[in-house]
Amino acid sequence: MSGRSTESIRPLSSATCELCHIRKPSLRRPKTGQKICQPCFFHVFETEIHNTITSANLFFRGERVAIGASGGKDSTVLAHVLKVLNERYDYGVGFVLLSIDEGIKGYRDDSLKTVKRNKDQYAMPLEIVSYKELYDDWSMDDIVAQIGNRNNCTYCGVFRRQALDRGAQKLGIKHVVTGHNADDMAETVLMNLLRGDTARLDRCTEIVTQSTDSPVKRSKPLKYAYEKEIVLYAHYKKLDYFSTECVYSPEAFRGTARALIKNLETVRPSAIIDIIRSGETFTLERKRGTVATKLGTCERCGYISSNRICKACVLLEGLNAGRAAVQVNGSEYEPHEGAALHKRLEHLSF
Amino acid sequence: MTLDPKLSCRRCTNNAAVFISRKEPFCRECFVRFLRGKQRKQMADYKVCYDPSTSAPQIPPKILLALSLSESSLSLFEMLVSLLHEQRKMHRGNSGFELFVVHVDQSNVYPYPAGMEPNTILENIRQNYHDTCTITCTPVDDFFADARTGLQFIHDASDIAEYSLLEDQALDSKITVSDLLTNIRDRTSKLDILQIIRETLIFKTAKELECTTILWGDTMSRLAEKTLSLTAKGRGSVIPYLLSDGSRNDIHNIYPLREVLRSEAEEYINLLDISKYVSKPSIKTPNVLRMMTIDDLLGNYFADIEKGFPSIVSTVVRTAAKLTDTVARARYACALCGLPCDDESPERWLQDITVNQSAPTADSTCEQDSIGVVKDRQRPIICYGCLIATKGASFPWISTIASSKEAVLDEYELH
Repeated sequence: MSGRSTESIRPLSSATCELCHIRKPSLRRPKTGQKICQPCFFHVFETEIHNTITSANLFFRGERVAIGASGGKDSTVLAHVLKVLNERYDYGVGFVLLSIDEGIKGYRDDSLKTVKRNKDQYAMPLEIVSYKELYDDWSMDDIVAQIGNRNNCTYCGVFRRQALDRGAQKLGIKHVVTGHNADDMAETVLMNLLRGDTARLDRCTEIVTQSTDSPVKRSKPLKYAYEKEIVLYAHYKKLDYFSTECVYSPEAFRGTARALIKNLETVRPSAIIDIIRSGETFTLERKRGTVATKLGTCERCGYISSNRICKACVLLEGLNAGRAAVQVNGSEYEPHEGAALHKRLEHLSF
Repeated sequence: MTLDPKLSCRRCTNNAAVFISRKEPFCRECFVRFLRGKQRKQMADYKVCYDPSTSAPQIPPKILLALSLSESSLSLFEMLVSLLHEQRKMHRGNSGFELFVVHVDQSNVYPYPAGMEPNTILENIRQNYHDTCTITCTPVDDFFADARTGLQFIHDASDIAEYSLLEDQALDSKITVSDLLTNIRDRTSKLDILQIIRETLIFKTAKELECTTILWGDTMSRLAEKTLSLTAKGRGSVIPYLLSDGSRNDIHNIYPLREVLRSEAEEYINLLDISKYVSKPSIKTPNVLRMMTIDDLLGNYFADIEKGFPSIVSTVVRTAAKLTDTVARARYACALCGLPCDDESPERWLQDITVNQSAPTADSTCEQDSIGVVKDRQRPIICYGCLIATKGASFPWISTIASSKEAVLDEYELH
């Protein structure tokens, strides 16, 4: 039986873009390894996000949606692409930028400047909610100064989640989109497997999360977009973004999962979406017969909570108790960037 | 590992410890009993049974051990032999099961170091254990002996919807697994496909020998690696189906070493002096990351992380065991790996998020047709994992139904 030879199917070198066969290729696509030109790259990158949005019916005409904007590459690309797609495909959605000011000197203050410029560049209204105004005058720097470098991501995570909800509610918005990318999704799948987190394992790949303890729906339109492609897109589109990592680096264990994802991607570029694909099929049987948790509101702040006091208020209580103790001891309370500075010094090398 | 000679076994407190496992010092006897206990716990159903009315012993079920000649499958082999001996001694020559052993010989695909060839080793095992088991060796090329299991397909990277089945009558008996593998691009996919072929042959042997159970020698460490490896290869949906004990293809499957660590299995065969039967192909793990396989990578990852987070292996295995088997009642079976799948066209999902169309241009003659249209014609169902594993593979002895756009453009378009 005769057949075409391997060579005729896969040209060894292509002088033209592998997609349009007209222009000269200018990049190798991280997701597929194809050599393609910039216009084709923009086209496939944007179309894939459009497909993600339409197949999940993410938006409806007339909806107002907040973009969780940190000024980093992911949320900047998200804001840019959503603006482009909203105009190209006439979604009829009103987008607003929503930023959280955690109060981290040398990180958030600079990135917020970027968001403020984005506001004008994309002609979108901007709302900034700060930890200091929401949580008894506590900024992340103050928290780290008090509790040290361990577990501070727990505080930041709980506080940011509530802050985003409160920001959205303030704007009368019920839907927040975030810049989580495919690498983040794959990392979360592996992390949940490695930690045995069965409460999250099967739900972590869902594009829309609408939990009962949050009044706001969240979604991730970039869930299939590779981090490397986001970097390339931002670079070629000359987008204005802030590229410094948070000074309080994440837990060591997550770092190993991150490194593993990068290695898997090197071995097989499709590994990232393959992991998400696997994650989407994971199903866990929930215990039946358990009484549905009764939802009420937090006695202190009025936020939706299944307990008498919400998690943020519990954390705040601990912090406030610590602050009082420090003041009683008479030591000078310095809510400056001491911890952040310390963290940065750790990373210095000579 | 040299241990403090004063350190005694924590279980019997009499003998000197020879090995520390899970922070506990063991003497040789206690360690062997500890591991055998773990295996017997998983195989509690294979006791000697007597007919309640006649008190005559029942005919023992036939079970098949998949023996890869690795440390773990050899230790399982030894445990089974010792269990059989014990049962025969206690029950006047009767046993709870009849043991068959199968080895899939892949020496046509991979070279083996001199003296370690599977045939030689198996002959040695046969001579020493002929009274306890029947050993079969199946060459990997037997995969093509039965035309129906040789269903192969092709699709090329540029248009994932295009592939065709290899017609039964077109099968050439000269095709070897080596030929098949040389046409698959990367090492991960080669191993993935080889694994599928080996398992297919093991199931085939089980059916031929009328075995009702297959025993797999995977240790807890290997099961953890497989869980992550299947996840990374896009085969997450079959994790509960493949890695838990239960029925597959009407045969019961058991992983008796699911609570044994790899290091423990290695120590076991050393202590019982059966490491001479280990037979492994001489494949060097490449130092260059790009050339490694996903399994190499995960092996290294677990070896590294176990030092800092020792409980991680058991956590992963326990988590995998909690996943619901959603494909057990799937409507389809993949034409290549034969595993159940519920999605009849995973390529549609992939096309949506990996668009293969060029940017629209001002020149209307270059306009693209509509996005994501899947051609409607009779074609086999290929699961997502196989779709990825065979991406870019092209088998010269199979012709495609339709010419790929890439190939036509490449041949005829003037640049």
